[in-house]
Amino acid sequence: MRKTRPLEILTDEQVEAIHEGTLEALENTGINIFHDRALKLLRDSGCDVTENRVRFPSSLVEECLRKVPSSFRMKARNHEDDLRIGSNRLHFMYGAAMRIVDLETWETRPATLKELDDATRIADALDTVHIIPDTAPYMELVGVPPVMAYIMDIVSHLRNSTKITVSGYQSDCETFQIRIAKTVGVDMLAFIGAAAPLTFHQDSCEALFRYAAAGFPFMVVASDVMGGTGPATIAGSLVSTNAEIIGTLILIQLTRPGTGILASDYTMPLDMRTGHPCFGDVGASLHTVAFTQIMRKYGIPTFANSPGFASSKKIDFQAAYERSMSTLAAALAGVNVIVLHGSIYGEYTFHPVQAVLDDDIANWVGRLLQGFEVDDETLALNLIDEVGPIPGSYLGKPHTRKWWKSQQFIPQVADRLTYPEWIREGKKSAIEYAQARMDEILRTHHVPPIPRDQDQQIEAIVKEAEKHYAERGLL
Amino acid sequence: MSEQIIEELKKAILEYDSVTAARCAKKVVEERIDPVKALDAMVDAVRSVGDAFGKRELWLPELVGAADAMQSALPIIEEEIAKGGATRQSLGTIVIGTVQGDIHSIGKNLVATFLLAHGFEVRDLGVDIEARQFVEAVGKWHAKVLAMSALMTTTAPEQKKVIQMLTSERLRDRVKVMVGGAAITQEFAREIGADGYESTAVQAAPLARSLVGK
Repeated sequence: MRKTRPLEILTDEQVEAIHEGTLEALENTGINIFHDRALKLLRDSGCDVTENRVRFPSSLVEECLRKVPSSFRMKARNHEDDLRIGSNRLHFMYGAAMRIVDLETWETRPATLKELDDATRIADALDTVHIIPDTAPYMELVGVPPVMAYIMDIVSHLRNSTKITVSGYQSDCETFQIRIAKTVGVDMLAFIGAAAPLTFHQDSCEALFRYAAAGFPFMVVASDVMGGTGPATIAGSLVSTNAEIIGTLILIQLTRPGTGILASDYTMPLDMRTGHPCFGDVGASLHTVAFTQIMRKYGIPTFANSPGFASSKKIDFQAAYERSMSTLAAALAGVNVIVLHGSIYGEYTFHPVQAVLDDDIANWVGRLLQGFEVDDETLALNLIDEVGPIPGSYLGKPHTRKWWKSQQFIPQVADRLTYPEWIREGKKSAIEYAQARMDEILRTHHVPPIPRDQDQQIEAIVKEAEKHYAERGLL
Repeated sequence: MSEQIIEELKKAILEYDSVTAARCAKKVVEERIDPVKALDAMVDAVRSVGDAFGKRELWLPELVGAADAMQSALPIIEEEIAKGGATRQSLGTIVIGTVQGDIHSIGKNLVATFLLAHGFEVRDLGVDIEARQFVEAVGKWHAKVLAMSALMTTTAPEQKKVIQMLTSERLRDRVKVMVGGAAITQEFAREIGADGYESTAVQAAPLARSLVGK
């Protein structure tokens, strides 16, 4: 729960200018949409639809913005893991990736299904993880055809954690994923993204309608790469990401009014040497901080989708500053969800040791947001007077015994030994402590299994999916 | 006079000026200047921008700007070369595209630019290209090389599909296939029977040259 005022870097006038720019982009430029049902719905709602180009009247935009709830509820497998997303709360999302990385050689390889399950179990054990993303944390799985990867990730999440999972789309996999979630009786956060610039493809619209019918809230992602698929300027990119997100949420609100929306910012500058996104860049943080301020004005919960993805290929100094600075910036701005734990290089590699290290970052940041009490007891005027100048000491006082722990944060795996102790203990670093903690979690953490009959139904749905894809030559 | 127009054309590309480049190309035609000389000058200009990019003196926006300027002038010059009955001196035609289901284009565009800068004739089909379209383009343009990009593990298998289709259409031994994109590895390229793979756009041109034996 954030108790501090959010960081705001735009003036009210600047926010207004960006909002006006958004209305203009939606009404004048519009969005290309490649889905007949979506086109019809928008045309019937008053949009100008010329072939695939949809132009949204400002009145419709503002009406749909008003329909979005300022926070929304999600039901998990375990009641304690239910979430209310929005308002002043900060939740964290586990990382997403493709491959596992070797901590000695830093080379990558596909993960095994056991490694997938282990990584999910670690997500379940870490207190600062609240949501597990769809592509988490491995999409390249040994023995799993690519088209089945999403489904196998979701199944692993539901079996090995009681926490909320995100659900994506591709080649109709969402139809199976929705049925799996309904079998267990949980909500999933539906991932929908526009293709930048300003385009909604057939499959994303189809998934949108399917998830809306299932009654799930949405994570609506804009992922402009500044200077490539969005303007090079942050202000311009805020307009284009606004347009992409708002265009999507209009379709959602027209289909199922009142649906929860988590506006997700995955905008990054384009690296002008490699053509890759600049993971860990301050430009992404500037965009996210401003994005959050704008979305707060609309009353829409926000997701910082870039902090957990860094440019460093290793768990090292660069990774630490890229992830922690971008996490801190987003948290101070008041975002409601931050993706963090475990991804190493971009969305390419993952390792659970990183996730354990990130748990400390998340707690550090969370503690900062909580601020501290200022009242007669904490001002401690009587105590200050009692202790007086040197040789007075606070160490033995009841006030100290009561308060010290809540006024700092003791990390789980950081090295805080004295120098001689550190030498004696073998000069260990946080990474080694994190490895030990990861091993202990895997040894001891127990996740209540899904009821047998539900699990059997899930198996049946998975088999059905395999048959479906085999028949289409996609397996 | 002809030297001056060619210099202006080169300058337009070096200044990322598509409008002037097209205008100069039209002048080349009007003044009956040797279009092959003009083409060589344009390739030189893009090449020098590519070299500066390699030395980190210039960046992607400049590289793409130069390529765009050349693309504004190229059709005009190519048409003139064809009219004259001459064939363009090039290292060969390369068909390039991003596979079906995949809309990522930045890397592919970079590769196309480098190939152009090295003197290949480049037919860029765009993104989300069906296997059949690749195969038809290879046949139509008598391509020496087919270059395919895929950025997702789920779209990478398309590259295999295209290679299989080239085989069934009896075109496989007439064209070299090179593959790339973030989802592709040397191992994968070997598995699917591609002739070459590189991990960066800069290396694509030397690879293409080695595939055509130049």
